[in-house]
Amino acid sequence: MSSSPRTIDVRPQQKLPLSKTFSLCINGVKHRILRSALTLAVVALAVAFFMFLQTETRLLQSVGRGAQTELEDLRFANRRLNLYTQNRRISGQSKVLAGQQFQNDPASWNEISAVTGWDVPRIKRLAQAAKQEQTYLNFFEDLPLGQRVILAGKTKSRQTLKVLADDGAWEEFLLNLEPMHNVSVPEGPDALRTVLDSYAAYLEELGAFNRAWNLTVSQVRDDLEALDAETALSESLASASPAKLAQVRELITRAGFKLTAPELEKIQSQLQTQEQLKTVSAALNRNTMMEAWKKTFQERNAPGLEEKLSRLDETKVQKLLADEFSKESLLDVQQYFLRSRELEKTLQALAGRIDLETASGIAGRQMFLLLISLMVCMVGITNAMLMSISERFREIATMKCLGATDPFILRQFMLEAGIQGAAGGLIGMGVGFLIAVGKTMISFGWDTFTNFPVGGVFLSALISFCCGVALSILASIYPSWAASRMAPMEAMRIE
Amino acid sequence: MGRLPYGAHGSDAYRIIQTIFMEFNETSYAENKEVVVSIHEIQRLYSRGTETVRALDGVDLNLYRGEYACVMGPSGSGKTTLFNMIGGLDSPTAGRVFIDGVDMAQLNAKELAFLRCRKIGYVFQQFNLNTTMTALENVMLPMIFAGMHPDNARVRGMALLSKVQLEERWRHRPKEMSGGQMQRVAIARSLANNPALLLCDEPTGNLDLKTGKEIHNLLYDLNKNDKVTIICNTHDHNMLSVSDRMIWMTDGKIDRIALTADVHIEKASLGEEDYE
Repeated sequence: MSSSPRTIDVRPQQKLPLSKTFSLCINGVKHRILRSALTLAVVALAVAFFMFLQTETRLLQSVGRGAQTELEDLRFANRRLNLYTQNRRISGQSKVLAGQQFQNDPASWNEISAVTGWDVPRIKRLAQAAKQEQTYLNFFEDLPLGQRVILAGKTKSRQTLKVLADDGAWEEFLLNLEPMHNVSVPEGPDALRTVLDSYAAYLEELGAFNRAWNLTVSQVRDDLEALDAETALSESLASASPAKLAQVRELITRAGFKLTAPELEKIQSQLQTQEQLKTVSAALNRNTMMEAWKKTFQERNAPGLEEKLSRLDETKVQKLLADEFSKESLLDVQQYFLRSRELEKTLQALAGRIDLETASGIAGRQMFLLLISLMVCMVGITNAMLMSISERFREIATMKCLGATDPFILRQFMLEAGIQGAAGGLIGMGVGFLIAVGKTMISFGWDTFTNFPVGGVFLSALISFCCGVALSILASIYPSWAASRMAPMEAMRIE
Repeated sequence: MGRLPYGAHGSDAYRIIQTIFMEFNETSYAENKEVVVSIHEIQRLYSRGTETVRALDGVDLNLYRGEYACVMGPSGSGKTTLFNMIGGLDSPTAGRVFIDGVDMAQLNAKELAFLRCRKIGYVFQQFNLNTTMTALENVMLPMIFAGMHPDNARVRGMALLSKVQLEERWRHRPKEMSGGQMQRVAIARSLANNPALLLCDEPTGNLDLKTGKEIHNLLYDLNKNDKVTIICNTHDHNMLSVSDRMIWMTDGKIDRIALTADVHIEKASLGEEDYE
């Protein structure tokens, strides 16, 4: 009787295919939409916050970078003319050489090589040394004053390095450095020593480079002045004929600088606008104009130039200035002026908020907030899942009576969490994106879209979405495990 | 054995069984019958705080293929624990349970799931249908777990639903059905994989008398026509009248076993008088 042999074949219960489990899950989520909505909302909130932080940072960065480039573009003429006609000796050239932008741009190596007559490897060597020098200059600059004085005496910038190059001073420096545990010399004191050893040679080389550069630049300047001795260069260029422009270009390119014809035309048109701006502001600031302004606008004090320019499209002002300027030229000047002011304001507004250089740009405090919110979200999801499981005691136990295995229950609940996380992630992504765009638009208007960082936003969306799914799955590990461990005899229990 | 308090369920039946003396001879009953479930000296102890509760205290029982057995007893007598043992939902502290000759203690979790899925059908007092699924999907669920192709499962599910006269309501969800209908769906579900044994835990406990009777008739038909082995835990007199054998439990032990045929006349008349 009890010792009778196995008359039936008992095998391990087979695994249900994932698609079946998935369809069962979808069915469950669909019919428990309210309960699912709770988990979903928690995920959506966290993802929205994450998405918002990322997208806003990226948008602000793109707005800032856009403003920077546009402003550079507006100042193109001045920058270029300065390059060709610098009056003072260039001492800041080492900073340019040390800059990341220069280091990565072969075109500017060639240009500098042509201007100075040096070969490229020599310039690159110098640039490398300048970069090292800059590293150590920054290092000493960033030290607290007390420590700096102890280490290098009351010296500043280059002088510090010059002083330390002396053997005696170096010994002392090392002695003083030893107890300062919080001070670490970039790449170690040995690297600094190597730089110091060749420092005198470097300075000499830099001097030679500057002399070579200045020689060419002063040559170009003299040549340009010789073209038109009467007027200043910017004025003469503004009104120069095409033939004369070609001459100017010929002069500049012969010295080694790169200057294409369209670039020169751009310079000319910008100079023209600047000239106009000067005359407009002169006109607006004349006494007669002041009186006329007060009268027409019935204001006690005539406003400043900026405000006047911003009101320039009003017909009254146009009437006032109709004798001197055409409407088009006024609008040109106004646009140029207002735009550059706006861009400067944008950059100012962004200055304290984000870092334009780094890639992610999320500041430390925001990161902290983000982590906290993700943790709160995880606790929320775990709680919601536990609730949903305790509501479904009987269902889980019945499933087990019908032949569900522990891994099946575990998978089912994890999948459910994954589905909810994905749905919440999608919603949160959208909400976060809209909030970020809305907030940026309130501050910067349509500039938000001029350099819209499509790739960056996609990346943020992807990160946020994955984060949401991962978060909900992570948070559901414990509840799902608890559900899978539930005894099937719970099904018999009567409430 | 004292009298149960007045009004307790099953007290009349209890009295009947107590007053009619009858020697149940297992050897003659078991002749030519195949054992489906064999329970051997099982004990189940629970610790409640510091004291130990003996939910089952040395139970020996054989269930035969094709029989309809009813387990009766006051609450706390160990009926549910016995059911958990037979159903493979819990394991005994001592002793052994065999289903179709398979020792349950030697099965691992997945084999137990296999056994529960194919060899045992469960009918619960509270129906325990999945509320998010239609009647047909509920019936199909054990077949899906058993790895049957969904098309075959659908055909068989419809056949089972028509057996419980609910083929027209296959699309309805549990909340759109009455208690009796839900229990019928649950019975159809329990039959899904042709189990060797149907475990019914108070199947009419949540139903009114009329629907309860429908369920009895259904179970009776299944037992007599389809030769389904049924073990039923009940307080319901009507249920007793359709069974072959009654098993009376008290204090975790089997108190008495009787053939329903021996008490049938008395009981039936009593049932009529009391309830109709």
